[in-house]
Amino acid sequence: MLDDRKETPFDNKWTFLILVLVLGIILFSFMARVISNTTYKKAQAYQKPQAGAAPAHAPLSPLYVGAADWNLINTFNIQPVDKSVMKIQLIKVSLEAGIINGNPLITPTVPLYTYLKDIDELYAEPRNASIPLYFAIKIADMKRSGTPAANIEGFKALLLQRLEKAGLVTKQ
Amino acid sequence: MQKSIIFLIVMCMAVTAGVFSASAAYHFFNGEDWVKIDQKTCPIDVKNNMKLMTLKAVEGGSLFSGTPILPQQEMNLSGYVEAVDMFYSNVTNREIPLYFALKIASMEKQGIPEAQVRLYRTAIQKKVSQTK
Repeated sequence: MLDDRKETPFDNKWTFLILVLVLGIILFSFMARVISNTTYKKAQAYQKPQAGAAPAHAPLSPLYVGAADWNLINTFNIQPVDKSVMKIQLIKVSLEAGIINGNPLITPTVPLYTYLKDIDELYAEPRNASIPLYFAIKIADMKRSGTPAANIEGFKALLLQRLEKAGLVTKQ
Repeated sequence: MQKSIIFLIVMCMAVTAGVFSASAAYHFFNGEDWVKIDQKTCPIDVKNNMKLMTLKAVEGGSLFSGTPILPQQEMNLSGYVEAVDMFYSNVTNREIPLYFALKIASMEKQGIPEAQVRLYRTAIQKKVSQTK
């Protein structure tokens, strides 16, 4: 009587395991897709802290993005979402230039929008006005990866010293 | 029964491969993104500022990573906004990343022979289509 029953995939444990594995792969790939899609949505949802206009002493560099440009975006008459998207684009193209040159600055383990808050905070302080965006991303990444504050301050001091020596920034 | 399971597995592998290849293909900032700035509903000076800042971010990234795109004597990027606009007005150039668009604009500005610039552009286009 039992032998007359039609065989189902669940009768064989290997078939069952393969099915579970396949379903797991589908679920995993679906989740990966959903996470990558939500990255942009989260960036849109991100609201910047009101850092205000550029500090008066932050010079607009003709060759690289710095605090003055970054804070200038806050004054643009556009939606806050567009401001965030604009800032993410600046981070993206800065990193891409390093990648194409063969010297990637960082290997982002988190979506780029997560750096926005840290860079906003960094550039809200007038003493960081001379730091180019390229290194601001590095500093944000250091902060995010748990580098001690003293080490970050040391990096900033050394960086400004070198940039001054190279004539790329002037002492304020 | 076994045939249907094999079919199911093959289908799942195809779907998974598609999903992963789609997420693995990195999208560089290119002409498509550049022309989107023009499509934004904001004043023209804001758009120009956005474009200038984007170029400054690329040049800054290249400068601090060791190989600046622009020659040392070049101190102003505002002239390049128009050059990049013109470059991307050609739809066939839109797949070229902004880094190379700026590089090509710089080559043209330096007076490098047109044939050489065209050769460089074709090489980049080929590379971009290979990595797609």
